Amino acid sequence: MGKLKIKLLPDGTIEMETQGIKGKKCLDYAKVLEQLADAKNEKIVKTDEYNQYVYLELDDSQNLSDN
Amino acid sequence: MSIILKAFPLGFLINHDYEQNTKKSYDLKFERENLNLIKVATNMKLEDVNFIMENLKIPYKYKNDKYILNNGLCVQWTSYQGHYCAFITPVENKFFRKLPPNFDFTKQTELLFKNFDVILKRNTRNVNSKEIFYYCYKTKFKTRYDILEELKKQKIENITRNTENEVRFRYNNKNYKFKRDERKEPFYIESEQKISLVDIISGRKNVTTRSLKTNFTNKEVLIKTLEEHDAKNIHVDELNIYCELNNMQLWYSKNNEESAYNLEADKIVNEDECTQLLEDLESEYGLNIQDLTYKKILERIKNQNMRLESEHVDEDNSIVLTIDLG
Repeated sequence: MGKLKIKLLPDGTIEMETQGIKGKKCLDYAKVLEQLADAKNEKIVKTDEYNQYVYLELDDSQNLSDN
Repeated sequence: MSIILKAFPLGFLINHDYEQNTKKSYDLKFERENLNLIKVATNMKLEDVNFIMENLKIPYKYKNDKYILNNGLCVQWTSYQGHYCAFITPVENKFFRKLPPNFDFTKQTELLFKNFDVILKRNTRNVNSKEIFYYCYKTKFKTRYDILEELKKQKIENITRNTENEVRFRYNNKNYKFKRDERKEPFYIESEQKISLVDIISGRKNVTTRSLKTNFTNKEVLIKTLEEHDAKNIHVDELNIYCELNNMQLWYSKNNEESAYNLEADKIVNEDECTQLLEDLESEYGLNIQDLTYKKILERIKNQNMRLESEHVDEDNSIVLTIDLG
Protein backbone atom coordinates (compact mmCIF):
# COMPACT_ATOMS: atom_id res chain seq x y z
CA MET A 1 0.00 0.00 0.00
CA GLY A 2 2.03 2.99 1.21
CA LYS A 3 4.51 4.00 3.82
CA LEU A 4 4.87 6.55 6.56
CA LYS A 5 8.26 8.04 7.18
CA ILE A 6 8.23 9.43 10.70
CA LYS A 7 11.08 11.54 11.99
CA LEU A 8 11.33 12.06 15.76
CA LEU A 9 13.50 15.08 16.37
CA PRO A 10 15.56 15.46 19.56
CA ASP A 11 13.62 18.60 20.52
CA GLY A 12 10.46 16.49 20.81
CA THR A 13 8.84 17.52 17.54
CA ILE A 14 7.74 15.04 14.89
CA GLU A 15 7.76 15.23 11.12
CA MET A 16 5.96 12.81 8.88
CA GLU A 17 6.04 12.19 5.17
CA THR A 18 3.73 9.84 3.31
CA GLN A 19 5.07 7.71 0.49
CA GLY A 20 2.96 6.01 -2.15
CA ILE A 21 -0.29 7.56 -1.03
CA LYS A 22 -1.90 9.85 -3.53
CA GLY A 23 -4.35 12.65 -3.15
CA LYS A 24 -6.21 13.80 -0.11
CA LYS A 25 -6.14 10.37 1.44
CA CYS A 26 -2.71 11.03 2.83
CA LEU A 27 -4.22 13.72 5.02
CA ASP A 28 -5.98 10.93 6.90
CA TYR A 29 -2.57 9.74 8.06
CA ALA A 30 -2.00 12.99 9.87
CA LYS A 31 -4.78 11.86 12.20
CA VAL A 32 -3.25 8.39 12.43
CA LEU A 33 0.02 9.89 13.57
CA GLU A 34 -1.79 12.08 16.07
CA GLN A 35 -3.23 8.93 17.61
CA LEU A 36 0.00 6.96 17.45
CA ALA A 37 2.04 9.65 19.16
CA ASP A 38 -0.54 11.56 21.21
CA ALA A 39 0.50 14.48 19.08
CA LYS A 40 -1.24 17.53 17.76
CA ASN A 41 -1.01 18.52 14.11
CA GLU A 42 0.64 21.91 13.81
CA LYS A 43 1.38 22.31 10.13
CA ILE A 44 0.68 20.50 6.87
CA VAL A 45 2.80 21.25 3.83
CA LYS A 46 1.65 19.97 0.48
CA THR A 47 4.38 18.69 -1.82
CA ASP A 48 4.92 19.84 -5.37
CA GLU A 49 3.13 16.90 -6.91
CA TYR A 50 -0.09 18.87 -7.07
CA ASN A 51 -2.27 17.21 -4.62
CA GLN A 52 -0.90 13.78 -5.25
CA TYR A 53 1.59 13.63 -2.43
CA VAL A 54 1.33 15.41 0.83
CA TYR A 55 4.12 16.22 3.18
CA LEU A 56 3.07 16.45 6.78
CA GLU A 57 4.93 18.12 9.51
CA LEU A 58 3.57 17.50 12.93
CA ASP A 59 4.32 18.71 16.31
CA ASP A 60 4.00 16.40 19.27
CA SER A 61 1.55 17.34 21.98
CA GLN A 62 4.10 19.62 23.56
CA ASN A 63 3.30 22.43 21.07
CA LEU A 64 6.93 23.28 20.72
CA SER A 65 6.22 25.55 17.81
CA ASP A 66 4.16 27.81 20.07
CA ASN A 67 7.30 29.58 21.06
CA MET B 1 3.99 35.98 47.64
CA SER B 2 0.71 35.70 49.45
CA ILE B 3 -1.42 32.70 50.13
CA ILE B 4 -4.36 32.35 47.80
CA LEU B 5 -7.36 32.25 50.06
CA LYS B 6 -10.02 33.57 47.74
CA ALA B 7 -11.88 30.57 46.49
CA PHE B 8 -15.46 30.75 47.59
CA PRO B 9 -18.27 28.32 47.06
CA LEU B 10 -20.85 29.81 44.81
CA GLY B 11 -23.48 31.96 46.41
CA PHE B 12 -26.29 29.50 45.82
CA LEU B 13 -24.52 26.94 48.00
CA ILE B 14 -24.84 29.27 50.95
CA ASN B 15 -28.20 30.85 50.29
CA HIS B 16 -30.42 29.72 47.46
CA ASP B 17 -31.93 33.20 47.20
CA TYR B 18 -28.58 34.87 46.87
CA GLU B 19 -27.96 34.73 43.15
CA GLN B 20 -31.57 35.37 42.43
CA ASN B 21 -31.47 38.57 44.47
CA THR B 22 -28.09 39.91 43.55
CA LYS B 23 -27.42 38.44 40.09
CA LYS B 24 -23.87 38.02 41.21
CA SER B 25 -21.99 34.85 42.03
CA TYR B 26 -20.15 36.38 44.94
CA ASP B 27 -19.00 39.51 46.69
CA LEU B 28 -16.83 40.32 49.67
CA LYS B 29 -19.67 41.48 51.88
CA PHE B 30 -21.40 38.19 51.36
CA GLU B 31 -18.24 36.38 52.35
CA ARG B 32 -17.86 38.41 55.54
CA GLU B 33 -21.42 37.68 56.53
CA ASN B 34 -21.17 33.95 55.98
CA LEU B 35 -17.60 32.73 56.36
CA ASN B 36 -17.22 31.78 60.00
CA LEU B 37 -14.40 29.23 60.19
CA ILE B 38 -11.16 28.42 58.37
CA LYS B 39 -9.51 25.07 59.03
CA VAL B 40 -5.83 24.71 58.23
CA ALA B 41 -3.86 21.45 58.31
CA THR B 42 -0.35 22.17 59.54
CA ASN B 43 2.85 20.19 59.87
CA MET B 44 3.29 21.44 63.45
CA LYS B 45 3.69 19.24 66.49
CA LEU B 46 2.85 20.15 70.07
CA GLU B 47 6.22 21.78 70.78
CA ASP B 48 5.87 23.93 67.63
CA VAL B 49 2.38 25.07 68.64
CA ASN B 50 3.55 25.92 72.14
CA PHE B 51 6.57 27.80 70.82
CA ILE B 52 4.45 29.80 68.39
CA MET B 53 1.83 30.69 70.95
CA GLU B 54 4.48 31.88 73.37
CA ASN B 55 5.93 34.12 70.70
CA LEU B 56 2.65 35.65 69.60
CA LYS B 57 2.15 37.61 72.84
CA ILE B 58 -1.30 36.22 73.32
CA PRO B 59 -3.68 38.54 75.12
CA TYR B 60 -6.01 35.84 76.28
CA LYS B 61 -5.73 32.11 76.63
CA TYR B 62 -9.31 30.91 76.73
CA LYS B 63 -8.62 27.21 77.20
CA ASN B 64 -5.56 25.01 76.96
CA ASP B 65 -6.01 24.61 73.24
CA LYS B 66 -7.88 27.84 72.43
CA TYR B 67 -6.33 31.27 72.09
CA ILE B 68 -7.71 34.75 71.49
CA LEU B 69 -5.24 36.76 69.40
CA ASN B 70 -4.88 40.51 69.22
CA ASN B 71 -5.55 40.59 65.46
CA GLY B 72 -9.20 39.68 65.95
CA LEU B 73 -8.80 35.93 65.46
CA CYS B 74 -9.47 32.99 67.71
CA VAL B 75 -7.34 29.87 67.15
CA GLN B 76 -8.18 26.45 68.45
CA TRP B 77 -5.66 23.65 68.00
CA THR B 78 -6.73 20.05 67.41
CA SER B 79 -4.36 17.13 67.06
CA TYR B 80 -4.89 15.22 63.84
CA GLN B 81 -2.76 12.26 62.73
CA GLY B 82 0.32 13.40 64.62
CA HIS B 83 0.11 17.04 63.58
CA TYR B 84 -2.02 19.97 64.60
CA CYS B 85 -4.92 21.44 62.73
CA ALA B 86 -5.84 25.10 63.35
CA PHE B 87 -9.52 26.06 63.61
CA ILE B 88 -9.61 29.79 63.08
CA THR B 89 -12.66 31.97 63.67
CA PRO B 90 -13.24 35.70 64.00
CA VAL B 91 -12.98 36.40 67.69
CA GLU B 92 -16.16 36.38 69.73
CA ASN B 93 -17.15 39.85 70.85
CA LYS B 94 -17.76 38.94 74.45
CA PHE B 95 -14.06 38.16 74.82
CA PHE B 96 -12.67 40.98 72.80
CA ARG B 97 -13.26 44.38 71.31
CA LYS B 98 -15.82 44.75 68.57
CA LEU B 99 -14.33 43.92 65.20
CA PRO B 100 -14.10 46.79 62.71
CA PRO B 101 -16.60 46.68 59.83
CA ASN B 102 -13.82 46.21 57.28
CA PHE B 103 -12.26 43.33 59.21
CA ASP B 104 -10.88 40.90 56.61
CA PHE B 105 -11.00 37.41 58.07
CA THR B 106 -9.15 35.68 55.26
CA LYS B 107 -6.45 38.35 55.07
CA GLN B 108 -5.85 38.17 58.82
CA THR B 109 -5.60 34.38 58.58
CA GLU B 110 -3.08 34.73 55.80
CA LEU B 111 -1.00 37.15 57.87
CA LEU B 112 -1.25 34.87 60.89
CA PHE B 113 0.28 31.99 58.97
CA LYS B 114 3.00 34.21 57.59
CA ASN B 115 3.74 35.04 61.19
CA PHE B 116 3.88 31.35 62.08
CA ASP B 117 6.34 30.79 59.22
CA VAL B 118 8.57 33.60 60.44
CA ILE B 119 8.58 32.31 64.01
CA LEU B 120 9.39 28.72 63.05
CA LYS B 121 11.54 29.78 60.07
CA ARG B 122 9.79 27.34 57.76
CA ASN B 123 6.51 26.72 56.02
CA THR B 124 4.04 25.53 58.64
CA ARG B 125 1.22 24.23 56.45
CA ASN B 126 0.95 20.56 55.72
CA VAL B 127 1.73 20.59 52.00
CA ASN B 128 1.57 16.79 51.87
CA SER B 129 -2.09 16.93 52.80
CA LYS B 130 -4.67 17.60 50.15
CA GLU B 131 -6.79 19.17 52.85
CA ILE B 132 -4.67 22.20 53.53
CA PHE B 133 -7.52 24.65 53.81
CA TYR B 134 -11.22 24.27 54.43
CA TYR B 135 -13.52 27.28 54.53
CA CYS B 136 -16.72 26.88 56.49
CA TYR B 137 -19.69 29.08 55.70
CA LYS B 138 -23.01 29.51 57.38
CA THR B 139 -25.91 28.66 55.11
CA LYS B 140 -29.63 29.25 55.12
CA PHE B 141 -30.43 25.62 54.47
CA LYS B 142 -32.41 24.03 57.28
CA THR B 143 -33.32 20.70 55.74
CA ARG B 144 -31.51 18.12 53.69
CA TYR B 145 -34.40 18.22 51.25
CA ASP B 146 -33.74 21.90 50.49
CA ILE B 147 -30.08 21.16 49.85
CA LEU B 148 -30.79 18.27 47.53
CA GLU B 149 -33.37 20.30 45.66
CA GLU B 150 -30.90 23.13 45.20
CA LEU B 151 -28.16 20.77 44.00
CA LYS B 152 -30.63 19.22 41.59
CA LYS B 153 -31.64 22.65 40.33
CA GLN B 154 -28.00 23.51 39.74
CA LYS B 155 -27.50 20.15 37.98
CA ILE B 156 -24.94 18.99 40.53
CA GLU B 157 -25.13 15.22 40.42
CA ASN B 158 -21.91 13.98 41.98
CA ILE B 159 -23.25 13.49 45.52
CA THR B 160 -20.86 11.23 47.40
CA ARG B 161 -22.59 11.07 50.78
CA ASN B 162 -26.15 11.73 51.77
CA THR B 163 -27.19 11.31 55.40
CA GLU B 164 -29.55 13.22 57.65
CA ASN B 165 -26.93 15.68 58.90
CA GLU B 166 -24.37 15.54 56.11
CA VAL B 167 -24.38 15.90 52.32
CA ARG B 168 -21.11 15.66 50.47
CA PHE B 169 -20.60 16.37 46.79
CA ARG B 170 -18.04 17.32 44.17
CA TYR B 171 -18.44 20.36 41.98
CA ASN B 172 -15.93 21.86 39.57
CA ASN B 173 -13.28 19.40 40.83
CA LYS B 174 -13.66 20.54 44.42
CA ASN B 175 -15.10 18.75 47.42
CA TYR B 176 -17.93 20.32 49.40
CA LYS B 177 -19.67 19.18 52.53
CA PHE B 178 -22.94 20.37 54.02
CA LYS B 179 -23.02 19.49 57.70
CA ARG B 180 -24.89 20.30 60.89
CA ASP B 181 -24.31 19.23 64.47
CA GLU B 182 -27.87 19.36 65.70
CA ARG B 183 -31.02 18.65 63.77
CA LYS B 184 -32.58 22.02 64.55
CA GLU B 185 -29.58 24.04 63.39
CA PRO B 186 -29.07 25.26 59.84
CA PHE B 187 -26.43 23.46 57.83
CA TYR B 188 -23.00 24.96 57.28
CA ILE B 189 -20.90 24.19 54.25
CA GLU B 190 -17.23 23.29 54.11
CA SER B 191 -15.40 24.17 50.93
CA GLU B 192 -12.11 22.51 50.12
CA GLN B 193 -9.43 24.96 49.07
CA LYS B 194 -6.67 23.95 46.72
CA ILE B 195 -3.84 26.40 46.81
CA SER B 196 -0.64 26.71 44.90
CA LEU B 197 2.21 24.91 46.57
CA VAL B 198 4.64 27.71 45.88
CA ASP B 199 2.31 30.22 47.45
CA ILE B 200 2.90 28.65 50.81
CA ILE B 201 6.65 28.34 50.60
CA SER B 202 7.57 31.21 52.79
CA GLY B 203 10.63 33.14 53.82
CA ARG B 204 11.98 33.53 50.31
CA LYS B 205 14.61 36.18 49.87
CA ASN B 206 14.85 36.95 46.18
CA VAL B 207 18.18 37.44 44.61
CA THR B 208 16.92 37.57 41.06
CA THR B 209 13.69 36.27 39.61
CA ARG B 210 12.99 35.23 36.06
CA SER B 211 9.62 34.45 34.48
CA LEU B 212 9.21 32.82 31.11
CA LYS B 213 6.98 30.63 29.01
CA THR B 214 8.13 27.09 28.36
CA ASN B 215 7.33 24.49 25.73
CA PHE B 216 6.56 21.92 28.37
CA THR B 217 3.07 20.50 28.62
CA ASN B 218 3.63 16.94 29.79
CA LYS B 219 3.66 16.81 33.59
CA GLU B 220 5.19 13.33 33.95
CA VAL B 221 7.97 14.03 31.46
CA LEU B 222 8.78 17.34 33.11
CA ILE B 223 8.99 15.71 36.54
CA LYS B 224 11.23 12.98 35.09
CA THR B 225 13.45 15.65 33.53
CA LEU B 226 13.72 17.54 36.81
CA GLU B 227 14.53 14.34 38.70
CA GLU B 228 17.26 13.52 36.19
CA HIS B 229 18.77 16.91 37.00
CA ASP B 230 18.70 15.99 40.68
CA ALA B 231 15.98 18.46 41.65
CA LYS B 232 15.10 18.46 45.36
CA ASN B 233 11.85 19.01 47.27
CA ILE B 234 9.66 18.35 44.28
CA HIS B 235 6.03 19.17 45.07
CA VAL B 236 3.34 18.48 42.51
CA ASP B 237 -0.31 19.32 42.35
CA GLU B 238 -2.82 19.44 39.54
CA LEU B 239 -1.38 22.43 37.70
CA ASN B 240 1.85 23.20 39.53
CA ILE B 241 5.30 21.73 39.96
CA TYR B 242 7.67 23.23 42.48
CA CYS B 243 11.27 22.15 43.04
CA GLU B 244 14.69 23.34 44.10
CA LEU B 245 17.58 22.94 41.72
CA ASN B 246 21.12 24.30 42.04
CA ASN B 247 19.95 26.46 44.95
CA MET B 248 17.27 28.02 42.77
CA GLN B 249 13.54 27.68 43.28
CA LEU B 250 11.63 26.69 40.17
CA TRP B 251 7.89 26.96 39.97
CA TYR B 252 6.15 25.62 36.88
CA SER B 253 2.48 26.49 36.60
CA LYS B 254 -0.14 26.19 33.92
CA ASN B 255 -3.69 27.43 33.49
CA ASN B 256 -5.24 24.17 32.38
CA GLU B 257 -4.32 20.59 31.52
CA GLU B 258 -3.67 21.35 27.86
CA SER B 259 -1.59 24.49 28.14
CA ALA B 260 2.19 24.78 28.42
CA TYR B 261 3.84 25.51 31.75
CA ASN B 262 5.04 28.95 32.69
CA LEU B 263 8.21 29.05 34.73
CA GLU B 264 9.05 31.35 37.58
CA ALA B 265 12.64 30.91 38.68
CA ASP B 266 13.62 32.46 41.99
CA LYS B 267 16.80 32.83 44.05
CA ILE B 268 18.95 33.12 40.97
CA VAL B 269 22.47 33.99 41.98
CA ASN B 270 24.23 33.50 38.68
CA GLU B 271 22.28 34.51 35.55
CA ASP B 272 24.55 32.59 33.15
CA GLU B 273 24.28 29.46 35.21
CA CYS B 274 20.51 29.82 35.24
CA THR B 275 20.37 30.26 31.45
CA GLN B 276 22.53 27.18 30.96
CA LEU B 277 20.41 25.14 33.34
CA LEU B 278 17.17 26.12 31.60
CA GLU B 279 18.66 25.25 28.22
CA ASP B 280 19.78 21.88 29.57
CA LEU B 281 16.30 21.22 30.93
CA GLU B 282 14.75 22.10 27.57
CA SER B 283 17.13 19.77 25.70
CA GLU B 284 16.57 16.96 28.16
CA TYR B 285 12.81 17.42 28.08
CA GLY B 286 12.89 17.20 24.26
CA LEU B 287 14.93 13.99 24.39
CA ASN B 288 12.55 12.49 26.93
CA ILE B 289 9.58 13.35 24.71
CA GLN B 290 11.41 11.82 21.75
CA ASP B 291 12.00 8.63 23.73
CA LEU B 292 8.41 8.50 24.96
CA THR B 293 7.02 9.07 21.46
CA TYR B 294 9.30 6.40 19.98
CA LYS B 295 8.05 3.83 22.49
CA LYS B 296 4.41 4.83 21.98
CA ILE B 297 4.61 4.53 18.20
CA LEU B 298 6.32 1.15 18.26
CA GLU B 299 3.77 -0.16 20.74
CA ARG B 300 0.74 1.19 18.92
CA ILE B 301 1.54 0.24 15.33
CA LYS B 302 1.22 -3.40 16.40
CA ASN B 303 -2.49 -2.83 16.91
CA GLN B 304 -2.94 -0.90 13.67
CA ASN B 305 -1.99 -3.59 11.16
CA MET B 306 1.22 -1.69 10.40
CA ARG B 307 4.80 -2.92 10.33
CA LEU B 308 8.07 -1.22 11.17
CA GLU B 309 10.08 -1.58 7.99
CA SER B 310 13.23 0.18 9.14
CA GLU B 311 14.64 2.63 11.63
CA HIS B 312 17.83 4.60 11.88
CA VAL B 313 19.30 7.54 13.76
CA ASP B 314 20.32 10.62 11.78
CA GLU B 315 23.39 12.72 12.48
CA ASP B 316 21.26 15.27 14.29
CA ASN B 317 20.03 12.48 16.64
CA SER B 318 16.63 12.31 14.98
CA ILE B 319 15.09 8.85 14.94
CA VAL B 320 13.63 7.99 11.53
CA LEU B 321 11.00 5.27 11.37
CA THR B 322 9.66 3.89 8.11
CA ILE B 323 6.34 2.19 8.62
CA ASP B 324 4.76 -0.10 6.06
CA LEU B 325 1.01 0.45 6.02
CA GLY B 326 0.38 -3.12 4.90
